[in-house]
Amino acid sequence: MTELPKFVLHRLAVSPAAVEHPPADQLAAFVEQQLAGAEREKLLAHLASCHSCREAIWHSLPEAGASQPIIIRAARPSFWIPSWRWVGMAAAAVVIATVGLVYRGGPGAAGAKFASTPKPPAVTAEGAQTLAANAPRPAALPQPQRKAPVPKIQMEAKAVPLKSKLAEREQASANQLASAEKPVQAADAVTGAAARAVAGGAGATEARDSAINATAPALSPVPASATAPGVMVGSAMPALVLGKKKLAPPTLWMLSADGHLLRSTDSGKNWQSVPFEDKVLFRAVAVVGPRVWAGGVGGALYYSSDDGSQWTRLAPSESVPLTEDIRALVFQDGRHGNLTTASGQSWSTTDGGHSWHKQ
Amino acid sequence: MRHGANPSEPAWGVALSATAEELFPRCGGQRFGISLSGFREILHQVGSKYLAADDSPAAARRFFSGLHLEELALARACAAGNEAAWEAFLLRYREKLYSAAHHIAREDSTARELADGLYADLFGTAVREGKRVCKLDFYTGRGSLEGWLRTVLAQEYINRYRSLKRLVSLEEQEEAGEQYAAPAPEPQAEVDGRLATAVDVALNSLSSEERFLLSSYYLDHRTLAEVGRVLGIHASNVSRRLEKLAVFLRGHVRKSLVRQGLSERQAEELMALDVRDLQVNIRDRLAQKNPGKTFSEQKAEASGEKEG
Repeated sequence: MTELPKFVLHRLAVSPAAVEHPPADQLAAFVEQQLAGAEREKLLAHLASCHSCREAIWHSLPEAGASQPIIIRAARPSFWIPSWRWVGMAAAAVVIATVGLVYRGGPGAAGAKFASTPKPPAVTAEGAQTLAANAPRPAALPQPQRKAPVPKIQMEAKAVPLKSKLAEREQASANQLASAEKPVQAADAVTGAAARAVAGGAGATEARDSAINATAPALSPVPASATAPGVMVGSAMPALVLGKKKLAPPTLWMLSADGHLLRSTDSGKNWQSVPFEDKVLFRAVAVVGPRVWAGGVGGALYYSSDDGSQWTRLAPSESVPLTEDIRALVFQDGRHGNLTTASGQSWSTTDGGHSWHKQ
Repeated sequence: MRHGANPSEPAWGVALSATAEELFPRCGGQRFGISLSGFREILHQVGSKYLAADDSPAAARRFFSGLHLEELALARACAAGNEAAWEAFLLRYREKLYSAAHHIAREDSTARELADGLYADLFGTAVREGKRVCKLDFYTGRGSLEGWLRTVLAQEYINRYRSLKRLVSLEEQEEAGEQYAAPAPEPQAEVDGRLATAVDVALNSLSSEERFLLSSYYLDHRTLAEVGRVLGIHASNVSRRLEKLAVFLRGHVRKSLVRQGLSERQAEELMALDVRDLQVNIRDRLAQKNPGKTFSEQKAEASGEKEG
């Protein structure tokens, strides 16, 4: 990061501080992206010149936990701005995945290896969900898994003798069709129709593509959204080891076929339905870090700033309130997002959903 | 300006009853003994604080719909001393409060002291002019109750830390080597008046958000991720904007100096000289000369107003 000259810092620091400080609830609302327009602008102007209030904000930030992306401050000056760092890590992951798959040999072997992984559904990243939603595949074929143990494959290749490896590969090919059914059934048990969106995997090429799609975004805290039942979204961030402390996996979100919002805090092993008093049928969900938006029938739109612990009902309205079914929700970041209704109306927000404008 | 039947009532007050009736089921206030009229009164208080008198009923309805109504009802019920509300509050926030205090103080005893102090304020142990003062009465549902609790904790921590800093014992000062008079600092070069003007003009041309970005990153030394979290944008976006701002400020200051009659070379020299030789004590500058009103002071004032 470019350093600012001292004389600029000097003038920045001596800006006159406002005499009256904003109340705590306004600061809290600001941190949670609940302020908009002139009110937000006024508060920002105060914060820019008030060290005390900024300090209160920094102290009040929730601990960077499971769903918070860990972004290490870039050295200054450095080429490694965060976006490049993520791209580099994603590229490295893709190379490792590709090398691992090529090393394993033919298409059947790769497919069998994926199919033998027992935990469905496992695709969490945006790329993988798009692939799965747009191109449903026959359920009888092996299912690519996001948790494909690529480094493990390489370790096994070194440890197992070639003959036994070939025998294992043949056995895996023979069991391929049978084992591919299991994830589908398990996914159905969780979500009703979850497997339709994530089932499939037609051979090594597609499996490799899926693995790449699933791996690359997993390294970046990208916004994610879903409209199809069974498609999972989350603050795509793998469990990282920071020093000796291993962080918990990020919260994942999914819509069931019957319109329930499901949440998993253990990488998709268990799913809980999120209760809403209004008995809303949800049709779309979008996630950016700990912020979650869920929309559904009758213009119902809910927002949570804390991974779903607390929910606020939002009321998109211009001249008349939005009453149509919400079919799609997409957020580029914590403030900018769009929703699409069943009739194709498009609404946008620039303040995290606090206010909406019809396009 | 539109007004309701009562001239002292704000324009948005006309439809307040209807809005309260519509939103009341969402707040779940019945569980904690809050009636519809009580809920309407709460909305009226919050609206009076944040809405303009001429805001339309539709704007008020949007505003009230965006509040954390369930938490607002819980907080007000706690403030009113409802036992069921306190049970729910403790179940939901007790652990979080101690965890937040620990996150802020980074030390067990201070964290416990901080959280216990806040609990006392929340329970309303203080009595002013015969009336129980409960901090939860100040929560208005703008952000989450948890976020508000964290912010209040942070403010209390900052206030305590500041007051404790003023009460450092003589022994501690001696331990810190402060009993020895430090040599008088060398006279520092003053910022050239033309340069100061040029920088002020450049800074004033920035938006509030841009100035906040600069202050957070360069003065508070917060990470890109932290700044991004507060502004709701990605860290890489923060990084790009900071880079652009740094370039813009340099260019703007240089141009401004040239406009004041300096040659390009003189402007560059002035800027370069300043960077090398100026010993700006940012820490001193950051120490707020006018700390404004603390929460406790605001609370005292507000309660005074209420009673008055």
